[in-house]
Amino acid sequence: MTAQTDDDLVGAFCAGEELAADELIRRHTTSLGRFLYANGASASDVEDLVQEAFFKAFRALGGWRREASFKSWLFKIAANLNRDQFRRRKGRETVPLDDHDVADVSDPEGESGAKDMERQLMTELERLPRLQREVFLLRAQQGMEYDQISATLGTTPGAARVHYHHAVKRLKEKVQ
Amino acid sequence: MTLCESVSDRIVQVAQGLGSWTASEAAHVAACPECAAEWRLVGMASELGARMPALDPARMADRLHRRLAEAPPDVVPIFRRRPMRWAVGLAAAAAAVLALRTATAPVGQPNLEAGVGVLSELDELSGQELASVLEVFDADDKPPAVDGPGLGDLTSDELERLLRGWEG
Repeated sequence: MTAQTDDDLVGAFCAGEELAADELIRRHTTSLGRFLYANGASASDVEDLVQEAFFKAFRALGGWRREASFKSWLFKIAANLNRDQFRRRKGRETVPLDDHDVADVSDPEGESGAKDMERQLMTELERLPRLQREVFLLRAQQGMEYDQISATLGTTPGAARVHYHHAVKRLKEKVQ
Repeated sequence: MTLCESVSDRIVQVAQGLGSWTASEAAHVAACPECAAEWRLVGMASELGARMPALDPARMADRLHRRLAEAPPDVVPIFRRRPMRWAVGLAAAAAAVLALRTATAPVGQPNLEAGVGVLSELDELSGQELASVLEVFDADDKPPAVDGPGLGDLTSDELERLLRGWEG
């Protein structure tokens, strides 16, 4: 199963193999959750947003034209859901990671520094224009190429590159 | 392309573990404050959310299958999903056209209603079958006989077309 591409699995699901969906979920749940969290979703909303994104994606697979990768399409749905959620709440609901949310670590001092840096980066990400933030995360966090990013966010690869460099310039100035 | 630009393009690839620095790139990243800052930034970004409570894909899949069972995937084209709806609509439209023609027929023109009325078999037809019969009449572009010939009065060609229409 793991040797199959996402496209193979999508085809298998459409042909009636329910287990193909399980593998797609296994592959993308964590990265999608991390993207949503870094993109402003509260920790308490992430699971529901991921669930809803998968549900919408699998329900609409029959009409999906496969112009981009499954991952791009899934992230596009999730980003839209996140934006809707944000609009409904009229802004980001900041729910910091509490100690009980964080896994035990053997290096508490190092972990504390990492938490501070993460908070600082999250704060600055929040201040970026939405498209800059999403492009930056899809590239720096998810490792997507510009053509994948443009398919996900409905822009061009050139524009995605420009947004990325603007975001990097701004974040470099702010996050030390 | 400057070395800074080329390093910037490769930073994500290396940070994701999909490649490694060449010796000259590594030396540049160590010496160039701008590239070093970008390298640190991308490294931090790639770890964002890593300390978030883990999501359970198996539970996610279970919930998804339950929800899909309640609201199945929308994978069937609309014209195949409800095969008879379009036929019923078509029959209704044909009936409306027929009624309009009958109502507006000039004096001296044959009365279609009377012609159709003679064929009592039409009462038993489904919407799709009725539409097919009406198509046969329309194809001829002439009204059925006013004095109501039965099926036995049709020519074999007309009868064959009528039966083809009934059989769909």
